[in-house]
Amino acid sequence: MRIFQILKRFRVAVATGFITLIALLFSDIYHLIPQQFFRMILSVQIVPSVFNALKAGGILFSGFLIISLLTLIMGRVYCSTLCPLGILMDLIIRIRQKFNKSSKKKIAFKFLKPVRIIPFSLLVIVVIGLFLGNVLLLLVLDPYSNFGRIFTILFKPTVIALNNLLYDGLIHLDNYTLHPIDINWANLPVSFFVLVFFAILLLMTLKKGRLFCTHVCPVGTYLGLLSRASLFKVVINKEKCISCGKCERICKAGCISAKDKKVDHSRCVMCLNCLDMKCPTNALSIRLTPFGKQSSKQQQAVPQQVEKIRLQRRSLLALPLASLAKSRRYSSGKNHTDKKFKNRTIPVSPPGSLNHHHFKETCTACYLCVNACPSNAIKPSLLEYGTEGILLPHLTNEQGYCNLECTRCSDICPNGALISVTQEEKKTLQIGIAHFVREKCVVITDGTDCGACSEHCPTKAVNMEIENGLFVPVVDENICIGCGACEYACPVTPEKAIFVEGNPIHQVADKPTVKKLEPVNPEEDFPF
Amino acid sequence: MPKNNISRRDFIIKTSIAGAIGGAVIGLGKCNPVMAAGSNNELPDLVAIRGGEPGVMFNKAIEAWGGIHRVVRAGQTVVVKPNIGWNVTPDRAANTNPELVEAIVRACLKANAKEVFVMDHTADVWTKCYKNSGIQQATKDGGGKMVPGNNERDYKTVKIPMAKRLKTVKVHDLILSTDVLINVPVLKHHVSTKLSLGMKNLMGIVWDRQWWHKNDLHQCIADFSTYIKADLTIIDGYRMMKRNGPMGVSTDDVLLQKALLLGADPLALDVAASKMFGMNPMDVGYIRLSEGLNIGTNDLSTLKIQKIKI
Repeated sequence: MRIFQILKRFRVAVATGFITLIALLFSDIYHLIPQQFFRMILSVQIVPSVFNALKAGGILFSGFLIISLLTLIMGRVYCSTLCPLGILMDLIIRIRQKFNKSSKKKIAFKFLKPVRIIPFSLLVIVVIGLFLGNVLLLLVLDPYSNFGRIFTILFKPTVIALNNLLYDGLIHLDNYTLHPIDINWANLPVSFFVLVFFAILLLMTLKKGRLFCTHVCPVGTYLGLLSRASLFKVVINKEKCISCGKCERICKAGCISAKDKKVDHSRCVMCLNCLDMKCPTNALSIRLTPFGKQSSKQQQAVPQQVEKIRLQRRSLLALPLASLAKSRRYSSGKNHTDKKFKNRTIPVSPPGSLNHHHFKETCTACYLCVNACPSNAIKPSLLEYGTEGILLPHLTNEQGYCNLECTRCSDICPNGALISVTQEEKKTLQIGIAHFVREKCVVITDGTDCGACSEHCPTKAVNMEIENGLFVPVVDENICIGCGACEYACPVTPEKAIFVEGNPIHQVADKPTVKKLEPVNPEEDFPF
Repeated sequence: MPKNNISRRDFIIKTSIAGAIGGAVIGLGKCNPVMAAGSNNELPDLVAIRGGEPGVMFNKAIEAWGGIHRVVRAGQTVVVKPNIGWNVTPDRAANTNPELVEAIVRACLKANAKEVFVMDHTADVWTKCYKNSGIQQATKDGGGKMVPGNNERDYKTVKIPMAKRLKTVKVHDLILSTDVLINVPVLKHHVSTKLSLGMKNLMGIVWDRQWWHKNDLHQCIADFSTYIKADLTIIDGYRMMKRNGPMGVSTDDVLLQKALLLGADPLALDVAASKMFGMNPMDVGYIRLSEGLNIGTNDLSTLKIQKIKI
C-alpha cells in the first residue's frame, strides 16, 4: 500500500512543480526568465508540440510523441501532472474540500455514464480542422491555451497590482528595488469570454470534478484512446471488492463504477487518489495489463463499435463545415474603404508570424506573447482577424509599440506560430506600414509644430518636411517597419492622425540610406 | 587657547597654495582673457569647455564655475535629470552620456548631498532605456539612486501662473520635493523642435507630454520653464546628434564634438548650445518664445563666460 502513497505524493509534487513553472512563465513581470527556457518548459504541452511537429515537418523528437508513448505505458498521467488546466482544476477541488472539511459536506463524486459522442465528435472536428488549417475549435478547447488565457486575463493583473502596492509601500522607505508595472489591459469582450469560460469550468469542476477533461478536452480524448491500451492501469480486484463505493466517491474523473467493479480507463487521469485512500479490502491496485486485455474487452467492446459508425457519420458532417470556415479566411480586412478617415482595417500580427495565414493556422491564443511583450503592445484581438481568427494576439499601439530590437515574443512562442527572428532581421521586418492622415494632423489643423510621430520613429521612415514654416510628417513606406511608434506617440485622439495598417504577409523593408556627415574638429573654437 | 584655531600665518599659506592650484588649472585651460582679468571672487555665469572626456570636462568646468557647492549644500537631496528617453546605447548620443552622469552624482555626494536621485520619464520602455543608456549602471557606480518615472501616481498636478497654454501640468513628485535640480540634457537635433536642449529636456519630468504636442509644443516648453528652473544646467555635447533626432537612426548621425556647457541660466545655456550646434538660437521656437519671461537671458554678451580648452 505504501508504494501507492509514495506514487501519489510524487504525482502531486510533479504537478505542483509544473504548474508553478508555467505560472512563473506567465507572470514573469520583470522579464527575469531567460527566453530559451520558455520553449523548453512548454515543449511537453501536447497542443503546442503538435503544431511544432506539423510545422517542422516531422513528428519525431516532439513532446507529442513522448507524451503519447508515456500514455501507452502509464495512462493519462499527462492530465494529472503536466496539464496546467488539469492541475488548476485539481487545485480548485482541493480548495473546495478544505472549505467543507468541518461541515462534513465533503465533495463526493459519482460514477458518470460516459456520453462518448461529445468528446469524440469534438476531437474529430479538431483533427479535421487541423488538417484543413482551421484551429478555431482547438483554440477554444486546448487546455494549455485556456490556462494561458485564464492566467493572463484573470490572474496576472492581480500579480501586477500586488507588485505595484508593494512598490508604493517600499518607496516610502526610499527603497527602489521594485518598480511599478503597467497592466496590459485586454479589451472587454475578450476578458468577458475568458471570464465566462472560467466560470463554466469552475462550475463543472465543483460539481463534477474533471468533467471537462473527460468530456470536452480534445487532448484528453486523444490520450483516452491511447490509455485504453496502456500497460499499467488502475484495476479493481472483483473478488476482493465489496462495492462500498469509497473509491467512486473520491474519483474526480467519475470513471470508477463501484457497482460494476470497473474502472473506465479512457477517462482515468491517473491521479492515484483512489489508491492513496484506504480501500477497506485492498481491492484496488495498479496492474500490468499488456495490450489492454482485461478491461477494454468486457467493458467497451460494444460501445466502440457504435462509436465508430457514429464517428464516421460525424466526420462526414464536419468536413464541409470546416471547409466553409476555411473559405472565409480572407473575407475580412480586405476591403478597406475610406481609409483616410478610418483607422486600421488590417490587424498587425506579431513579428515572426510570417503571414496571417500561417498565424491563424498555428496560434491557439495562449497569450504567452501578450505577457512577454515588454511594451504591452501585443494584446488579444476580438474579430480583427475575422471570425476564424478570433482571440488571436495582435499588435496595438494604445500602451506601447513594437521595440526595434526586441525579439522576445518570437523567441518564446511555443506553437511555432511566431518563428524566431534575429535582432538584425527584426530591424527590417515590415509587419505593417504607417499611413498619415493629413486632415487630422495637429500641424495642419492647429498650425503648431508637433512631430511626435517622427520623434519616435526608429528608422525615420516618418520624417518632417518643412511646409510654410511648419514641419509636416511624410512617410517613406519603403523603410517603414510598422512598429507603431508613430501611432502610439500621435497626440490626436480618439482616431490618430498616423496609424499602421498591417501587412497580411510580412515583408522586408529597405534599410535607411546613410549619408556620411562631415566630422567636426573638437579643437575648434567656441562660436560665441 | 583653543587648539584647533588656525593661525593667521597658516591661513595665508593655505590660501596661497589653493590659489596657486587654482591658477595652474586656469593656466592649463588657456582661459578666456576676460576671466583672467576678473577678480577671484567673481565667478563665471557660464562655463564652456572642450576637448576632454565627459567626466574630466565636467570636473574642470564645475571647478571653474566655483564648485558644485554653489548649488548643492550638505544634507540636501538632489535630482539629476539626464535625457534617458531612448532605448539606445551611449554611442548613439540620443541620451546623456553615462560618464557625465556618474561624475555629477559623485560630485554631489562629495559635497555631502543627502541623496542623489536620477530619473527621466522616458519615451521608449523605461526599463530598457535605463539599462541600455548605461545610466542605470553609471548612477549605481556613482552612488546615486535610479528612480522610475513611469508611474502616473508619482505625478502631482501643479498650476503655472505665467503660462499662456500650459496652465496646469502633472510634475513628478520627486522634482517638487527635492532641494536641488540638476538638468543634464544632451545637445542634439530634434525633428519637431529643431534642437533638444535644457528647456526641452524638462519634458521628462512631466506626465502627459502628448498634451504638449497637441497644444503648441514650443509655447508649452516656454511656459513650463517659467515654472521650474533647474538650479544647474549642464549640456552634454560630447557626442552630438546632428540629424534624425531625437533618437537617431545609427551612429552615422553622431559627431564627436567633445564639448560641455555649464551654468545656472537655462536660457543662456540653450542659446549657447544652439550656437555650438551651428544654428541661430532665434530659429528655435521655444528659445524665441522665452524672451521676456524671466527665464534667463538670451544675450550672451551680458554674461561672464569662461571658455576652457583641454
